[in-house]
Amino acid sequence: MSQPSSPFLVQEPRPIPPDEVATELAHLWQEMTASLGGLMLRARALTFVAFTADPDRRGELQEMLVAVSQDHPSRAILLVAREGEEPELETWASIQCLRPPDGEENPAICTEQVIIEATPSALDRVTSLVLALTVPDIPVVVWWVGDPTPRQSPFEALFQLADLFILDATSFRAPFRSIRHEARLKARGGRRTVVTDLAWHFLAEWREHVAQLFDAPEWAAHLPDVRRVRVEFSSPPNTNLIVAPAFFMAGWIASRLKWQPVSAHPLRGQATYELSFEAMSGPATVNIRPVKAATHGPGELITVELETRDPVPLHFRLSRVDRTQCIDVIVEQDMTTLFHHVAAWQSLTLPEHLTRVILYTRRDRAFAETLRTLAPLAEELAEPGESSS
Amino acid sequence: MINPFRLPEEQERIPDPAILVIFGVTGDLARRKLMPALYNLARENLLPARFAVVGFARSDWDDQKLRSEMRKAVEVFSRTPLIGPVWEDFAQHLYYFKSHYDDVEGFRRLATCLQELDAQYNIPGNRLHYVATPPVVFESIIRNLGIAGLNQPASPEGWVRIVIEKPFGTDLESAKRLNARVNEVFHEEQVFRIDHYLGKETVQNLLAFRFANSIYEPLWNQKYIDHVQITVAESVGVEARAGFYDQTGALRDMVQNHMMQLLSLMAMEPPVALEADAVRDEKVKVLRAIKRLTPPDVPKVVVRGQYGPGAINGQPVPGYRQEPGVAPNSTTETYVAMKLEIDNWRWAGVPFYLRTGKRLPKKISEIAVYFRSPPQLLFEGQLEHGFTTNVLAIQIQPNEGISLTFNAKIPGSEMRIRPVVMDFRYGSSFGMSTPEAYERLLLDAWQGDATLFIRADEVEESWRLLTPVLETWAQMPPPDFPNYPAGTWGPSEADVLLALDGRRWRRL
Repeated sequence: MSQPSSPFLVQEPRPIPPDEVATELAHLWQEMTASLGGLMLRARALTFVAFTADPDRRGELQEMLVAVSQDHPSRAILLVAREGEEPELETWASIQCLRPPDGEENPAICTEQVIIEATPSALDRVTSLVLALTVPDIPVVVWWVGDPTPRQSPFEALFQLADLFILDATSFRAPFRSIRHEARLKARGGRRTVVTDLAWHFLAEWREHVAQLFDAPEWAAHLPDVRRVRVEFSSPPNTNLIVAPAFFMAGWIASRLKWQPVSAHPLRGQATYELSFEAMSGPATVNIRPVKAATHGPGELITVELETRDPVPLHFRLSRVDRTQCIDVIVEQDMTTLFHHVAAWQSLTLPEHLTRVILYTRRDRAFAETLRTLAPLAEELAEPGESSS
Repeated sequence: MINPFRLPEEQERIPDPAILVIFGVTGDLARRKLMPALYNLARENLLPARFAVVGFARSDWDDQKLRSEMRKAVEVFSRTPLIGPVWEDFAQHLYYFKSHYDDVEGFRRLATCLQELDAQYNIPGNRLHYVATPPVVFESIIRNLGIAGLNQPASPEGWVRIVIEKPFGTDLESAKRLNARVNEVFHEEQVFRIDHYLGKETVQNLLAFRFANSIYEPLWNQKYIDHVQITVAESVGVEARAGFYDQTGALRDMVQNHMMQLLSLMAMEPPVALEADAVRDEKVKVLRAIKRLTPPDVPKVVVRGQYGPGAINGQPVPGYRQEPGVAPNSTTETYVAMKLEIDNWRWAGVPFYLRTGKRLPKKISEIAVYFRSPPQLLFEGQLEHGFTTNVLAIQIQPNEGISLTFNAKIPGSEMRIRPVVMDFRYGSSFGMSTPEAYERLLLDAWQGDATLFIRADEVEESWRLLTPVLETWAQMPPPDFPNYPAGTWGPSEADVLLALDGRRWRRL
């Protein structure tokens, strides 16, 4: 349908008084229309609000919003909480146009970006500005970057505003405490505010490969006998440990197999965990552990293996060891390979993931069940020192 | 055993393990469309883990030759780059079977071969036959499939389906005969007649646009719509298809299938369900309601044309009769424009103008719905040049999207009115790339969903309408071919066709 378009005209964000953002945007549109000779299309498919409490990420997030707007033209609002005093509230506005995908004769697709920086004392008020800038009738997507902080502004206001509320568990500083919060939010949001997580979407391809392996009835027949699961994730040297995707994978497998959570505890240090469950016919465990894998980013899954309790266990292994574009799907028993399939692996960038997340604003039942399964285990693993506020 | 890793709503989209048999695997369609589509389905993990593809043709190939040839084809024609290990894994499922299409023994050997593959892949006898050959061998293939028992599932829980490519006959009689031959061997629900236009995203979006929105349907009738224009324009000539095209012409190649499908989707009543027969029932009703053309009508409402030398994008191009493989005195039409009327409550009095042609200025397919003018033109004195009635344009390719033209006041102290366009482009709202039509349709056939395939009665109704045109033309060879230069919008008679009704073709 369309080749990816590329930004070719990005205005430098222009500082403007907060109460004049809408007026200034109208001026900017007039200027852009004049400079492009009318060959432009003002496109808005959603209002996209991103929040960060880390001012160092402002530039990166600005670029991310531009990238996402190539697929989801939007009024993008970047809300940055920063320390300091005066001025309490600063705003900038800009318009960027994307080269039309099908040649010069088509209009450029132009979208808006508003940046708001607020000090803690202004965060209460900032939501009124966001509300004023929300485009009527089209979905509002909120991307909350960092740990959820339900008791602090502007979290609750943005949560109430959103049709789709995106978290990213790979960026949580207190992952288990925040996943517990996330489970509550997911339940509270229901169908009105769909809560989702980029870390969950990073696993979409993994989940599809696992599911596809067990589309074969002869393998699915062994699933009631699975008692042990191993999830390995990448931990390159000198990077922070990111355990959330592996934790989500463990929760997804357990919830799909109807295992009930029992307990969770770290093993041999904080990065290795054993989760205990009660399956229909006995105890089951999931081991999560980091491995050194230079070709994969921190937190990426490397191996998922399910093992049955048979006298000669069956091993269902999905592995990306030494693979970048592919995944090996293997079934083994007693060192004999019964099935081996090499499937394609599509590596996506963060903006590409965001783009896909935004496409699906329906309630995700599998994620809700995963979070429900993980919530009590996250509670146990949350350390007293973990703070999400 | 239900797969617990799939939600209930996902279960039904899992294709069954099956063997796909492609008749004519050495041909152009298999190389350009089918194999790249299969590779992309495999690449996106949409094929079942247990499957085999058997290529059937007369050439002296073997499994290795098939795999290497198809690898080359995928490298050239796939919408995604070939990934070596994924291709190698996929290619292990490809097998070649050499035989003649009229050799019954060859089909019996094929049956044995498929049983062996069933055992090898643990496939419960499911078969998807894909007839990708020239039409001249359709009937032999179908007859021999029946004789060899390949029209029946190889096990009680198995299924057999057959996909047939157009053309579905060359006129009403031949279409009826082909349908009869097919239905002697296969039940209609086993038959998937493919028109790749129906696999296009925007064509499917027609259903969503009409029946997922409440604002248009109340206006979708003779009370508010003045007329409809359906255009399928190509800038290319006959390319490598001269032999086929010179026997076929624009009416058979485009109007009978693609354009009739667009018209019926555009004009049909809401189906009772989004199910294959419910949708197709409504499409057939539209085709049945189109006013029959009699021989005296044909010259009045149908225009044919053939391109002469001209230029496309500034480059000189030869006329049709100068194309390699085309007879210098060919009377084959490369352009058709026609006016159809649908005699039912919804559409009585609303003309549907269709036009298609080769070597037109640009490639574009669209449906343009012209709404009636306001009953009283309050602003008649203030209309700027270019004032138009409201036009809803549904563009199918390229730049898939929908635009609505409406009139607005030009800012200023005077009351001046000018048309403006409100545009929705797929690319600007959903930036993701979409699968090729063949990917969607192959998967649908594999899963047994016939919604986007054509039923026998649709084919026959469409031919019933157009056969009088062909017969009339056969009696009256065109005196003035070529009658439009390449790079123009067709013969002037096509403009007259609309001008007589006080209308004109939309400027594209």
